[in-house]
Amino acid sequence: MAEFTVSRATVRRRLIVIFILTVLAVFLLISRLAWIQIVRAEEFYEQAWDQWNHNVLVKTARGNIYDRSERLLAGSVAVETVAAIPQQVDDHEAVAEALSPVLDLEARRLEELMSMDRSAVYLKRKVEPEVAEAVREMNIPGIVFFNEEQRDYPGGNLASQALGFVGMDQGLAGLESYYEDYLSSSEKQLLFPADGHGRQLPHDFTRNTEPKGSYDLHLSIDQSIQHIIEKELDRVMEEAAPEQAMALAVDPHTGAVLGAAARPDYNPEAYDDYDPEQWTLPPFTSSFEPGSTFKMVTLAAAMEEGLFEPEETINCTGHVTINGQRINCWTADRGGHGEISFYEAVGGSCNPAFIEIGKELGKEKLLHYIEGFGFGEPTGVDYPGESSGLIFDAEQLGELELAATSFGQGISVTPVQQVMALSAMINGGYLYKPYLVEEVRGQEDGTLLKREPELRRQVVSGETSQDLIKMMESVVLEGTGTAADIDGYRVAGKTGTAEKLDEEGNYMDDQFVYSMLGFAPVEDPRMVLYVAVNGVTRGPRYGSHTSHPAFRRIMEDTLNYLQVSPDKEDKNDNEEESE
Amino acid sequence: MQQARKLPSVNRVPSPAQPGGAPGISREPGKRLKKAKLLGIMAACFILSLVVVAQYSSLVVLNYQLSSARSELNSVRESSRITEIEAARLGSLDRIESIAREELGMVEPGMEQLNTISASQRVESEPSISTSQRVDPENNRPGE
Repeated sequence: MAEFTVSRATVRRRLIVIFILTVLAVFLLISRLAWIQIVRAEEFYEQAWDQWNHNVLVKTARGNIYDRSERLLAGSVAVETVAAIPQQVDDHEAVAEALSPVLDLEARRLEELMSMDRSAVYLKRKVEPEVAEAVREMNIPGIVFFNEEQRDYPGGNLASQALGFVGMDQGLAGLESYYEDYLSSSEKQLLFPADGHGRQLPHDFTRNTEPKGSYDLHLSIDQSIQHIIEKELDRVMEEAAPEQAMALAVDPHTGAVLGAAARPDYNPEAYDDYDPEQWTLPPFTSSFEPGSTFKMVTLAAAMEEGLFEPEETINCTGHVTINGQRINCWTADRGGHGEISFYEAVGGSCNPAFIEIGKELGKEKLLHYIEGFGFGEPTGVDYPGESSGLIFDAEQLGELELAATSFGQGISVTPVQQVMALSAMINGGYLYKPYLVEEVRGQEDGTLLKREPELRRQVVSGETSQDLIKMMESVVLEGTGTAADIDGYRVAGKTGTAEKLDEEGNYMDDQFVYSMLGFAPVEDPRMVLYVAVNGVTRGPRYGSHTSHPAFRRIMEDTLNYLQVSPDKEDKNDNEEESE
Repeated sequence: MQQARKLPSVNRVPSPAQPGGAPGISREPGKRLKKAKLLGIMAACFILSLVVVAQYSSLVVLNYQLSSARSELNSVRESSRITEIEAARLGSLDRIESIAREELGMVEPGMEQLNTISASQRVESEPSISTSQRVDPENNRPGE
């Protein structure tokens, strides 16, 4: 076997060549690396970003709404939206035909949507889970799903007018609309490098756009009181078939709204099926002539000014004539109240007596107190579309207008104005601002806003307040409000029967708004309640058969619910004791 | 510890029977030490890079776990929201009242079935309260 020998020089040459080639290769690699990493770094970075980054829209959930005891009134659940990526759908016509019955949309409309020059189009938003599942099972290329959320009201119609509702993307009525900025969900765009499965890779270029957090609303409304109110309004609707019935309950010491409702109402999950007028909350948005409940304002003004003499008498003949205009008392049919004291006139709701009191006060003083109690301007309750009502100004207030205003005619006020005025009359004279939301709390950030009772002004003195309470108790004990009396509790208040106006502005003979405005227990009032029944069409047409019993039942159930101890000796007990 | 083997003398000419020998390569102890240090550094770098890669790999695994946990958290949150709404729906007073009336046949007590007592009387005659308020389940009238 021949020996093959290579000289050392050859080996050295070869080594040198290999070394040079290696160095050259390394140099070329380094140069290329430098070209990529330094010269074209930015360009490649952008390209890499486009390839690797995963763009995810993370939606924060819309804030929930709770009652004062943390019971859920409105929440949100995830639902799916069916969308199409037009470029990926092979046969628009065939796909539209296939999807039409499932999505309950016309095939032509679907085809139009899929023919749009967009990267993706919604075919049907927020579909039922069964619909999404049916579409998913069809496995059509180019048909995709997006997650969205849908508002859910677990109580159904309960407090629907206070809560409002949410359209496709935002609150459109009630508190959902008023507090949209706090409640609304927002989109957070999360950009990060991801692998083929979309899982985030640990690189340093994650980019976030921080979303605004959504907040929960904690209301002053109590779900149980709200339920009691609505149950009674339903009963009134069934028994008296009125055009409208409404109630408002407020804590007189803070202005916190405990319950507010009206009938007819609506279902917020199917709001489109109802008349938009039913979406609003009439105790805040409607104003009408208050009738006799407004007499308490005149009485408060006279008492505060020292012009009310309870023992002084007046002869009520059933009517008075002012500037040629005859103004009737509600007792006109039976010739009036006759000779009565002003104390009795309050219990008997005598119009001529209050006209006399108004005349004594004069227009400046009466207007001063009317405005002082907050009439003629919005109360500032946190609800959209609050009405300010309408009162006369000093120039408009002639003798006739002064007389009408004294017993609650010729002006228009809202139930919430009346309730807040009565609250001031019984809490020592302090007028508070009413509110529905007690707290705005972040889902992650904690409390953002905690409402404290907001005092607007003191209207009457504590002494006048105590006198007014006594007068109002007499109305329930021996006056026009006996139907509102409750066994075991001392109740006080004022009844009202307001004539309704027709379209031409004339009073209608047979159409009235019956109302009851009162509170209980007298010693330590827990709730001021207003109940109004508008346009009764069935059964007896009296407040004592409509609004007053509804008031009594709501107040009685609420006091029981609040576990308020009875503060009145039962009549039967007294009888037994006397025997 | 193993000691380095003593190498032959320097400048030794390799025989033709030993191809691949390294004529002229320095065999001085200082240079060998230098070479050993170089190799040591390279080995250390290699091991270090392995550690870095291992850590990086572990980071990736942890990140996948984190991603999965986040997804699970979202799913649990969603499920919690659905449960909260369902609980509120089941506990709604309308539903409870409807079940009480329609399924259980419950009715509101009539006025004749209620006895209102004063606070003072309650303290004095506590035991008699339950008797007077007892309701006969058969005909929903006060027991006699």
